[in-house]
Amino acid sequence: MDKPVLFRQFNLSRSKSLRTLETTAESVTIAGDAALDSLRTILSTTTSPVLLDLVIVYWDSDVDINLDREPELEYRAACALRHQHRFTVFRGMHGARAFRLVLCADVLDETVESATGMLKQLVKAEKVRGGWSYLHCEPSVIAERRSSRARPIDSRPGSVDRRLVCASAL
Amino acid sequence: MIITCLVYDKRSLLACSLTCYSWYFAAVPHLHHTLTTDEWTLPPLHSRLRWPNPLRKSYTLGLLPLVKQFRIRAEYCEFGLDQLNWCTLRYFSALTNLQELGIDNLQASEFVPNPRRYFGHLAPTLRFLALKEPTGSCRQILYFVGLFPNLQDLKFNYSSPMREQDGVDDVALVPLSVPPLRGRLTLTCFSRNKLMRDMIVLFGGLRFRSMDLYMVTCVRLLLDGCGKTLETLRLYPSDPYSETFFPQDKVVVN
Repeated sequence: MDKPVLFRQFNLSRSKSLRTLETTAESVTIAGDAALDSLRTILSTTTSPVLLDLVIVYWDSDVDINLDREPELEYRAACALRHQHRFTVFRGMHGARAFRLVLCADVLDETVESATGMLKQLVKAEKVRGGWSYLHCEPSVIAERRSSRARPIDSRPGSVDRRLVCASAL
Repeated sequence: MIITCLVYDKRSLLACSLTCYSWYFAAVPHLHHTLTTDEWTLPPLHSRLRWPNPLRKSYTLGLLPLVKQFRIRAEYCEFGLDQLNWCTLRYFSALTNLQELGIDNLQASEFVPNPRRYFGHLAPTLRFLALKEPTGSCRQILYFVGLFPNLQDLKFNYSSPMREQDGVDDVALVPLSVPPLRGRLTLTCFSRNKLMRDMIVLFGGLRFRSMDLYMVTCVRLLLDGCGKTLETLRLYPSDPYSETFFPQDKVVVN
């Protein structure tokens, strides 16, 4: 099976002090079926002795918030499918190496509350289904507050020096 | 403490600043935290930068030292010496407490002869430098980075990666200082491998604790360089780098 050169480049065996691996929910969705394969390959190269935090960054478009109107059923179904796909990827990754899962809402200031609320609901719903049985502890939900005017230097996909404003384990 | 909760709400901050003298002092640094040059929706006729409207007024009122973050957005022009005339340079020099600076389309070569004249006042405080589409040789760009001895975070953002050009570099050009660079390195569409190799040589290695890499061609160099210090890595499984640039360079895994 062909593996793109990217995975070979991301050999983390020399990064002995690595504590956190971050990626974005959007990137996992775009990668589709290849996401699990690539992330598993990269995760399996880690040799850091500490328990890794896997941080999944949810941007505004990933948290299904529409302040203007109630989302249509079709849209909600599509969102639910995307979330399920991501959770399947996380579960598959855990087979390569154990980690703590952290869901991070990186959204505009006015939607922080609703975004973290939505992520907490997602985690709870998955818990009811027994979806977190493979983790040592339940996923945490945190938020990074962002203002389009206040932090103009930031731009996707990179992010620099954002302010962590709340970190709450469920 | 109340003000801290409102740092992102400009309207409320403005109201707070009018409440009393002590609230004014608490609110005003947050009100003037950020400045950005205005964005053009269409290419300007003379390709001149449009500096922020309140710049002159802020300068007159002595508010520019309160600005912590400044972004020079130059969508349709390059940022060279001709964008800093005697007037704008006077305002720019008043930004004495700047911590974060973003520059689009920096022409590094133009500032090589006398960089301290233009950026020297930023040297003591600047912690984060973001360069979008900088032009110039690797040495010239690193010479610019080396102007800021307290720099921790660095960001290079290109809109599309290109095969590195073999240009003539001035090897005699050595940065004026070695910044600590122990924070976050963010690279987007970055294919200037020589710049990173030169950085290792000129700055005595890489020491970043955090990296955010998207469409980067020198991943292995960076990971090896920061092997002892790297604590956080952001990567993107949808990164199209392999297919886009090295379609022939595949590795077969059983």
